[in-house]
Amino acid sequence: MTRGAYNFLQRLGAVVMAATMMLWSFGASAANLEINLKLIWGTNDAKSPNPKHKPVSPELTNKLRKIFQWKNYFEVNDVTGRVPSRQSKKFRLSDKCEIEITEMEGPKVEIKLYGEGKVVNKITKPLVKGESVFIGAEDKGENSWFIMISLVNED
Amino acid sequence: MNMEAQLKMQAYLDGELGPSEAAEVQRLLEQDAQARQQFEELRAVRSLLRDNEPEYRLPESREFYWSKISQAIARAEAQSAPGREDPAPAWALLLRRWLAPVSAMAMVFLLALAGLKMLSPNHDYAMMEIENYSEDLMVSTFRHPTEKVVVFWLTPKTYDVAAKPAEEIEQDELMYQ
Amino acid sequence: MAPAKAYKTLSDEALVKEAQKGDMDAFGELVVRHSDKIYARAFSIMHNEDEAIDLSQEAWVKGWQRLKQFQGDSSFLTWMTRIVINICLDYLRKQKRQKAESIEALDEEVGGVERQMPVMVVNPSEGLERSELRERIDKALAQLSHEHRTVLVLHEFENLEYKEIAKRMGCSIGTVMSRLFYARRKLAALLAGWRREENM
Repeated sequence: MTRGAYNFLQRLGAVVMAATMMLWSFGASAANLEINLKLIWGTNDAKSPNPKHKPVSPELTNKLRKIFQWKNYFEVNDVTGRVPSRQSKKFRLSDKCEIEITEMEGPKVEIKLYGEGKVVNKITKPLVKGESVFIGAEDKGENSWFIMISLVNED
Repeated sequence: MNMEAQLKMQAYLDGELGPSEAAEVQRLLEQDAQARQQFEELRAVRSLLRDNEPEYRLPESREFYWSKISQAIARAEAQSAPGREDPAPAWALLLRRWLAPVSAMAMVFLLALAGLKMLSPNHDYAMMEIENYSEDLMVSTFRHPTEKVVVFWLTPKTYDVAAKPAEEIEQDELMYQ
Repeated sequence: MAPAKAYKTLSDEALVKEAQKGDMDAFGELVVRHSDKIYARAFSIMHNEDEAIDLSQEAWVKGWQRLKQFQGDSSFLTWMTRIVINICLDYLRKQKRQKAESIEALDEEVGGVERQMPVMVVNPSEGLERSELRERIDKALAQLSHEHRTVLVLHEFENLEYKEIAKRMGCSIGTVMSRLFYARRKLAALLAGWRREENM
């Protein structure tokens, strides 16, 4: 490769990196988030023990079956709420379970799971539209519960 | 009833006959009591078997069974591992000399593309952190590549390890490309 | 990479995707999950515990080696079952079990034995608990030759058509039909015979 060509490629690389960093910094601006949380019960039984729990939609059932081993999924609770920029909001999903979401820099959020009022764990990760986060566990080895967290909108 | 007729009757039972042969067997069954009796026996055995398949369980522990399989896989992979590659022929070496600058430029181009891809709002290069505050539970993570789902699964601790402090999960550990 | 404990909760589809990328723990979970069924299919054909263990393990090794070819057209369990059946059939082909089977084969060719078996008039399942009935069926299956038992297993338990069975067993459709006929009649005779003995 000639010296001239090498210098050209160097300059091209520098321009690309600068553009990338500029556009990356635009992504770090503040945002208000509209978040949906579902508390779901997974089981191989035909019905949930609580008759008030409806099966989740067929689309969601198909999606969950691709990921988890249970056959049937029931919606225990479904809440949608707004998390203002750089602030926190707690979502109560059941008597024993809450999720607190804090909007952070860039696409990141902090998700805290509370069980019976105590913090169980804290997860910090980007939350992007189209991707869902699940926090869950087995219940007595046969059934399961999960909290499905999705970003509905941001502005 | 000859053997051919009996086999045709069986094929009728098993849904293997075309319409005209099936009609032929139906006529036979209407007319011949012995044929009906034999057909009934075949039907009964077929039902009996289908409804009562014997169940057999693996007579050794699953862990032991899996350990033998994983060892066999390791042995098979060790046997099929490629040997040292033969040195490239002269024409390949010559081609390489000319390809090197082209591939350097291609790499710059790809890096530029990757940079552009970083600008997509759905692309996710930041690291994840998990802080587990429970003494009884541990957290496992899994990412499903096509369903766009990240799972954090809580399981009871079965071994004596203190709850981990803040744990940084490298994105590369979860991206299985 | 996710620790093994998380895999217990995942679907077969998710586990296969991980295993296809080289994750042995994910494959191990699939093995643990389906080991009984794959062993059971091998045992139903071979009716020999050691052979069934060895051949089912061989099937799992082959499953790992061919996993990237699995496209998801069928369930993973169905795909693995096909592999173990083929391995058992290959093994049987290589085996030299001349003496006992040649006598049965001769009977089958001349249409001898099953012609002599009276049609079953005693209901062999009447009054039996399900588990007892399954035991008897197992005992009766054990008395068949490998060829006859295999045809029954492939037809009654795997729901394969005559053509598919013929292809897998490397024989004609006519041979499949006569083996199936013989096997069913023999089974009927054995089960009815045991019932009659009890009623005496």
